[in-house]
Amino acid sequence: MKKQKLIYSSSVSAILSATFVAVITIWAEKAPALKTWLADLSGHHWTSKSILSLALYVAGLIVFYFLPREMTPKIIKKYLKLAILFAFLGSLAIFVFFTGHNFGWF
Amino acid sequence: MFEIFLSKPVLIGMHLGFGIIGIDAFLWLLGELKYKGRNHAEGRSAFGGKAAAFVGALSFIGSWIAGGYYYVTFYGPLVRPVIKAGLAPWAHNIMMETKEHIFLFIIPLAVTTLLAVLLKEEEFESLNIRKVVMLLAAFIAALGLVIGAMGFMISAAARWGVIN
Repeated sequence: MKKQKLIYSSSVSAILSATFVAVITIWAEKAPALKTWLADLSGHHWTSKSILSLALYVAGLIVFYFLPREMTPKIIKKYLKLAILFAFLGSLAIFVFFTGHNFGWF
Repeated sequence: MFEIFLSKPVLIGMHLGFGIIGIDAFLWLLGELKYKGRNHAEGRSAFGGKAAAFVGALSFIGSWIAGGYYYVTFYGPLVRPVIKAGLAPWAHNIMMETKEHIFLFIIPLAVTTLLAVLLKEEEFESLNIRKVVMLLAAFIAALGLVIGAMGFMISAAARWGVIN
């Protein structure tokens, strides 16, 4: 049962981490002050995003593991699917954003 | 001796090599899950996906560290200006900007997959998550391949940037 909860919390954390990376990446491109803050945090904006996304994943893993929630096969399957979906949508959002940015669409 | 490991060609080689091993490992896992599915239906059992998922997750972490160090230390000051001034500045603006960020999705997904296949066989079967874990492994391998293709375009753009 504990291992099942770990899979669930890892899936939820992967969703949070993917959302965080997609949002902060696009946001930082539109807000230079945020990009500067990220660069100042570790010396490079990408290193900061890496550290923060990893920290969010680990923190989420711990928090969702200890938060009370009954585990069922349906819930585990649902969040595994959502983890794939969010990573796919996050990849698509980042690709479309930088494509548009390159061509001056936005 | 140690500086060889931190040199540009070795870092690129480690980034690519670990990436390829990671992709192959998740394709291997995909095969294990499919093969095991057949075995299970026939009443036999041989769950060999744990090694594949472990190797895959570890390799992607290695690729992340080697590629990240190269990107931060060498790519920005040395390669980026060449690409931006060359024939294909979009290789940086679109491909590298996308690649460096979507790579961050892989590690949490790879660890999640590893945790799923670490379940005891009976528990794994009772949860009925074989298909979704297969989908997860396939998605990780596909994302790795897309990132690899982007890396190839970035390297080509840098080479043509120098020639041009």
